[in-house]
Amino acid sequence: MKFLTVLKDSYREAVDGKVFQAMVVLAGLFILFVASISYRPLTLEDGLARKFGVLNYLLKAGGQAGAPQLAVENYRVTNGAAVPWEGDYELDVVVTCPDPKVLDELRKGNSPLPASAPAVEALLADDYYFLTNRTVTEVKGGPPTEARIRVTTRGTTVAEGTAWLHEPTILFSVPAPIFIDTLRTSVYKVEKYLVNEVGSRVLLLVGIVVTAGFVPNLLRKGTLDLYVVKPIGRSELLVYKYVGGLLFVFLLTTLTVGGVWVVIGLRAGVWAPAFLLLIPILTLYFAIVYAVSVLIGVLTRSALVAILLALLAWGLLFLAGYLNEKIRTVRQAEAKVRQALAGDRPPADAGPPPSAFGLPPWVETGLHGLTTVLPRGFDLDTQASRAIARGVLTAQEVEKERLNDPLPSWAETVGVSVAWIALLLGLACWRFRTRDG
Amino acid sequence: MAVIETQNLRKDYGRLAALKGVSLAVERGQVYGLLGQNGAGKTTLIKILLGITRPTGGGAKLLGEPAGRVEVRRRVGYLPEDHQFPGYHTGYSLLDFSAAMYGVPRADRRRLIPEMLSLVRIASATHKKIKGYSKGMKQRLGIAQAILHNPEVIFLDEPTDGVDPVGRREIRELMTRLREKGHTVFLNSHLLGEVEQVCDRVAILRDGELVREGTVADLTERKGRYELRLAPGEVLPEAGVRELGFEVAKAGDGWQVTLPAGATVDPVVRLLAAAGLRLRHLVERRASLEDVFMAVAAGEGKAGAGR
Ligand SMILES: Nc1ncnc2c1ncn2[C@@H]1O[C@H](COP(=O)(O)OP(=O)(O)OP(=O)(O)O)[C@@H](O)[C@H]1O
Ligand SMILES: [Mg+2]
Repeated sequence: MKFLTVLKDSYREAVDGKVFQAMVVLAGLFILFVASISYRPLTLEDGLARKFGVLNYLLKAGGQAGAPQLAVENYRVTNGAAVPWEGDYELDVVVTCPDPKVLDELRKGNSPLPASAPAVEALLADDYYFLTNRTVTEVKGGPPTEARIRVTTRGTTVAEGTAWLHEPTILFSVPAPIFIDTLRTSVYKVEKYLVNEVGSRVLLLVGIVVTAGFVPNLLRKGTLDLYVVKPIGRSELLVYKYVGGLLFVFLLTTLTVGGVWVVIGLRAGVWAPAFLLLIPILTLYFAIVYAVSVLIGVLTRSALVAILLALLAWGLLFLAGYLNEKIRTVRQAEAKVRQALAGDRPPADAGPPPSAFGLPPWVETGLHGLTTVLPRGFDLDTQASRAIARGVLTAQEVEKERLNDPLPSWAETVGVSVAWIALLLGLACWRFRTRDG
Repeated sequence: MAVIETQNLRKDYGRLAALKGVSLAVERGQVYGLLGQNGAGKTTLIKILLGITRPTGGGAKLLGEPAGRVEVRRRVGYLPEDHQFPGYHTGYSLLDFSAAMYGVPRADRRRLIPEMLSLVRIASATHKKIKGYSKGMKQRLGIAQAILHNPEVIFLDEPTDGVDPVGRREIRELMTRLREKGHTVFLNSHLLGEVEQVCDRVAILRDGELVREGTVADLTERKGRYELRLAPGEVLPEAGVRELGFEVAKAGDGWQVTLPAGATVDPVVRLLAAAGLRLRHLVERRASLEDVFMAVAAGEGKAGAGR
């Protein structure tokens, strides 16, 4: 009852500042932007043509007169498949060059240009490894300024469209050929970069700004009295205010993440529930930073100082985690190298290996210690990226992105973070209760 | 049983002693006025009783419980001085918030809030943001939030501050009505005339010390001083009056007569009748509360006159 009353009060405050509305609008625009991205499956012809188009442009831009040019001809889907990832194909890759000598060089050498059967095969193996039963043969007898390589394929290993190349269209109308990739990868990139790295940070930032005023406003002279004479304990009041801010960001996060999830599902057909893990992860992340903001608010009564120090805390958490992670990665690589060098010999007992960065060992130990005891902002970040990756990528792709390295358990990450929140809030409550007036 | 009771209450702000051992008691159903110059410690006393500030020493009880208990606060209303209601509230929503915090059920709030807003005459601004209220309107709203939940004890810190004369009278009437309904009102005010009119008892603080306490009649009584006037042209036989043991002094077109201890004014009246003089005006002279206050301010207190 009182909780709801305080909550409603906070809600009024947030709405009155117009920041809340601005935030909802911003979230809406963000979702709309993600919704504006559509994905069109590329036919094999289109895919090659786009690639060749870029190469042709680069070759011409190389400035050589008579630069070779690439093209696709006699393209056929021999089984008449409805979707490109079920097709059997036949096509000619054609390289033309006014100077036959240059063309011969290209045929012979290890040129990346697909002027010979092996070069074309290499290209297909790279970009179209999922086309099976490939035959690649050079068709002789054409004009000397032309190299013609015939490709036929039967069947694909692509079981579903998400593994096929798609071309995104941004803002409902602007094709973005530079972002051509498998649908899976495109969705992964949208979720990882657009949502998790940009969207979530903006959300946290605005969350911090909007909620930072709650406590200092409560403590304003002339206002405080009105609240603290009510039959409610001060700690209770403060915790309610905290939960109010948290709820506010939780709702905003749910709106944004949920909206993006639905929109991606509709647009790309990728419904990965793991993506929704972002909601609790971001909320917990905010809960840590907001606890700092509340404590500073109680101590200084200043929204501005609360914002600045909360941002600083956020930055430090990230930095400590980031540096620690970097060191850990380098250490792992070193260990591998050392193992390889040592072979079967038992390792020489030479004490701790020297630091990779020339840092004094205490820095490394210190950083490690810090990231162990501090709230796990960085771990949460990593968990978020992994949730996103697990949702869309295949097991091999996850492996390739090095997303399987061991992480601290959820229990540890959440436990340490929640303990910090309790500590910070406990301090804030203590200060609020003992403050005179 | 006293509703409000302080025992040798002390409060230091650092080296500044805001209250230096104040003991007072307020009975249920009284309108109690606390007077004192700026900085005398009036607000500090209220804040301690409400648990906003902690005392340095001594005791303070409210409704029989140590001051500041959450459960006690439910039965108390408070209008702070210099209040700043959150500007994002409207009159209605502020009262709704306040009453809800005091546990008034929703249905009652719906019914009571419009009534209350009419009572303090800001019904027309019910759904206007407080940001747009004038000073007097805010003050009226403040009074409304202090009494809406029907508290047993109501603390009003300068309730008429910024309110126009009509509004001030309305507030006085409101206080009288509250007393009639059995509420206890504790009032801080600088408007002595007002206090004189509505308060049953008055205390005067000076520099954190209680220097006067009593009913308004007690404080303003000046035993044995009378003003008298005779019919035009007639002269008081001053020497005769002095012989009876009274002090006499000319005051305007009349005289002031001071009685010796234990005497009444009757001998003077008889003397005038015997002399055939016609008495036109005879009143016992009371000090106004303002006189008392000024005297106290000038340092003529009962206690602590040595400071
Ligand atoms: N929070 C505080 N910190 C330090 N000193 C304070 C504080 N509050 C009050 N004081 C001091 O305590 C003394 C009493 O203040 P208080 O507000 O109780 O006076 P008051 O009688 O209500 O005065 P006024 O008529 O001006 O409202 C003053 O000297 C004031 O400066
Ligand atoms: Mg005051």
